[in-house]
Amino acid sequence: MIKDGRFILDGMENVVINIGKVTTEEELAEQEWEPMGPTPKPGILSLRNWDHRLLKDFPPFYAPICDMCCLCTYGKCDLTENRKGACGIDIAAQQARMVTIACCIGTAAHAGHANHVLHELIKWRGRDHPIDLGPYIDVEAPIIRTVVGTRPKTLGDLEEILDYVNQQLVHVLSSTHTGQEGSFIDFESKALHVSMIDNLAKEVADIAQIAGFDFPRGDPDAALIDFGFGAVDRTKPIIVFIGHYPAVSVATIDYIEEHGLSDKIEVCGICCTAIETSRYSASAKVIGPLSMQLFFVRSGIADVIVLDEQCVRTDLLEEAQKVGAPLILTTDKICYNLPDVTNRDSDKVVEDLLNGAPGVLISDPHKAAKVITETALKVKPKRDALNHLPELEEVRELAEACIECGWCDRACPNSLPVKDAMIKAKEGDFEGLSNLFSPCMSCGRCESECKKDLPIVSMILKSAQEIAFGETYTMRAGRGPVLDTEIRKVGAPLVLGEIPGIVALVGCSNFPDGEVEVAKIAEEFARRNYIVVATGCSAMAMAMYRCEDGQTLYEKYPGTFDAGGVVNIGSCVANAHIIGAAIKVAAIFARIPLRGNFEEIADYILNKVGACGVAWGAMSQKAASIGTGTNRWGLPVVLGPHGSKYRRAYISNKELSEWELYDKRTGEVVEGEPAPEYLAYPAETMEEAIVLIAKLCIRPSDNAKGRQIKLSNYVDLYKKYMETLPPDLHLFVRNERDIPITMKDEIMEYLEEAGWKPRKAIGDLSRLVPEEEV
Amino acid sequence: MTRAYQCANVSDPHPGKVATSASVAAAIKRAERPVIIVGSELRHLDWALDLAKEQNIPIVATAHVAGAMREKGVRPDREMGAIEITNLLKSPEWDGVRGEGQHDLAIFTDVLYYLEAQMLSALKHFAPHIKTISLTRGHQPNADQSLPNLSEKKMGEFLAEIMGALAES
Ligand code: SF4
Ligand code: SF4
Ligand code: SF4
Repeated sequence: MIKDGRFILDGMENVVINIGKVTTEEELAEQEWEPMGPTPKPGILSLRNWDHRLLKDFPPFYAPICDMCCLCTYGKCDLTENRKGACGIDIAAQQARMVTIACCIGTAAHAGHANHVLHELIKWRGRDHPIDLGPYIDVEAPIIRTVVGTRPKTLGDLEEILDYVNQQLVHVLSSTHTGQEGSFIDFESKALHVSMIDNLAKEVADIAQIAGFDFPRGDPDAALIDFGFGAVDRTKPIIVFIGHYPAVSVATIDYIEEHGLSDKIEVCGICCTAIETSRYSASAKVIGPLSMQLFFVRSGIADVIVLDEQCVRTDLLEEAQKVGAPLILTTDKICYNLPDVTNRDSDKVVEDLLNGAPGVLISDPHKAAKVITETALKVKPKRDALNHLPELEEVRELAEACIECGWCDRACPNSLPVKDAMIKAKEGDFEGLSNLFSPCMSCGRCESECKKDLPIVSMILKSAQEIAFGETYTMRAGRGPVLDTEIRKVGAPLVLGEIPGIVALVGCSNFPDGEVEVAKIAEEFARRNYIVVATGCSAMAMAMYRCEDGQTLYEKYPGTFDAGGVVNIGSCVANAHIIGAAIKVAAIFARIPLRGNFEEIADYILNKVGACGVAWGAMSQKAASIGTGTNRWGLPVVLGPHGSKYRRAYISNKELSEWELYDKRTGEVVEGEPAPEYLAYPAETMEEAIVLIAKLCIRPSDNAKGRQIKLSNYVDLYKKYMETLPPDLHLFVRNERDIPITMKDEIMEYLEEAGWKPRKAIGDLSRLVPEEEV
Repeated sequence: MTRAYQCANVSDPHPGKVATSASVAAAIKRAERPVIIVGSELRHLDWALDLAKEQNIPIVATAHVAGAMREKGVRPDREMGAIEITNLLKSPEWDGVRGEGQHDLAIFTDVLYYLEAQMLSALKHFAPHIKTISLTRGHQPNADQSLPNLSEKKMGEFLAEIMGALAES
């Protein structure tokens, strides 16, 4: 039987015979841009060997947050003291199963966003709308190239990628059903797999947004955006968008412009929708990260509250009613039992809202845009008459009702001293309440627990009104991908260590001690010439800070992806570009083919790209999949202490085991360095995290100069906080040439005491079995 | 019934015991190789250092606590992250802080409450060879024994009573 394919006959080179599907010129070019690697569109089993190898060097550490399982009707099953559930599962596999479920939820949230935004944009712009990331980006979709093996050219090309995403998500999620996977290691492999799929979904979402909404294409000089409660002009009607999906805010800004209302209305946002909106229009304001959500709604500043999807408080209908602000829902993810009025006449919907309807659901962004704008214009005069926060005297009176039971402190995730603040407020001293504003995440759990139903969040906000309403900052708009030209410049110094690392501040705002710590981490590393990149709530938290000279970080440091830059990449889905930058170092600097070549790329990144993710306020399931996906590419992540509640860390054990790696040049097995030492680690304090980040940027590929730079940062930071040399320093000094010159005497003295012996520096290491041994 | 200090942190069908100063002192006396883990809250650092000195118990400083100890002229036996020490404590093959063998008792003070809850959970599930005592703020049901929920003043008294009971024995 003749197989399908494309044939050229000997002696008739200008005659091509196609049998089966006819290949177009474009398809031919697509087939030939790079040879296909070994694992295009990998399934769960395709990269399992890589996962098992990672998990051998960085075994999972489990800290169960629940000792039972209640996922099926056999349960609850008690899994303590080696007991198994009725299905046979043990506590370790159950932890890995819950991690896998969390990663599936996170992936589903990003994939939902990607599906949603892509289909909307195809409606707006058509399937053939080109993906053009500008003249400085040729490697336009590094994750898609590496994982799927294609180069998307149009919005329509992204649909095929989402088909693959959706299919893999179904397979992994199905493995968590009762009575399927039973090994914790293989559950972890599945968590790693689905989280890589999450990276892919995020890349699809963001390149679709950049192409379809004309967001910045890697612009280092993206606009500085006004930031903070004080940034909005309260004399105008104010619309706030909360969530992650920008189609509605984009359509609203278009509507406002088309109707000549730009000077008459303020548009602002909270959480990633704020970042996305400011990527579209520099006049949109950013209020802050997720931790500002309840504070801002309680302030009553917003005249209309618009929700889209992900990380939105689920009680905002009730909260919006308290401040008399109509609530408009815009996606199928959040419906709150409100009527779907998408097909009702817009003017009538506005009328309903003005007549007291608490909220509506409108799933068409353009219709929603009209209703949102017209309602804001008309409701503003009505709302001006309302008082939203108690006066200070009322705060004192409310505090008098406090029975000093202390349950608020015990309900607070950070055990903040609410009770003591109430006791002070009884005397008319509001400093205690005001001091809570910065570390408080406005989660409202204290209120929910309060025996006297005190509006604690409102009382904190009122007491801190000068800080809350007075301070304004700036944030550079999310710039999107790193340019190929930037990678060409930094590729060599990064791999050799002369730029000491990339510090990527990502994730939510469940901070142990307020937003300021993220800014301090960023400042510490920007000053030291690391490349600091940020996304999502962390990019926003970093804005809420002024350096000693009064500038915000975004004013003080350039937005270029280079040593000493502070780069806002964009929203949560833009996280894909951070992994993308590491992949592009392998592709552009080391010329490793990307196409369907995941393992080789991840192996390269793990051994050679000194980068460390920091998810200081990681809270959501999305953060679980973001972090776990990052790990599969060989990039370590430091979490804040609340991250210990994800139940699992990936940590090597340098005291008990040695790593066997391959010397890529000789193929011989050699002993590796603990560099990086962990893949996922929750730190207890900011100071510990700072020291750890410097250490986790060390890589075997550092040359002597690069290792000196990295060690001088590690040692300097360790001494700053611990007042001594790091106790594991000898593990990172390969020979005397690695020792920073200015620290030579004290380090040599230390090394002698530690019984250190020089060893060969092998820069080209691999965890992949050499081909001849396969 | 004594509830967890962070009141929703109830996870276990077999919660640990509420400690008394006498039961803590007795457990410390009984242990062959105890270790003290001191965390970042730094509420009772002096007390922990006294306990370590008087009972010759090795001390591990988590987070950046080693710096605070050095300011007091004390060098901790080891300094490492909270999860790293927990990982070592659960490994049967580890030789302990002083190389004298794996520990049989871990006493926790001043670690962030919720992080400590996770450390104690890891040891409860995966380190049957080790008993745990939590003397951090508020009750920790994941510890074998842990303080009741006490005011700062009462907690000071409780800790002093432990020292008294140890001195007597
Ligand atoms: S899934 Fe297994 S462990 Fe969970 S409740 Fe059912 S039988 Fe028990
Ligand atoms: S609202 Fe603030 S004070 Fe209240 S529980 Fe949440 S973080 Fe704590
Ligand atoms: S829970 Fe309410 S009544 Fe009790 S101390 Fe806190 S604020 Fe006061």
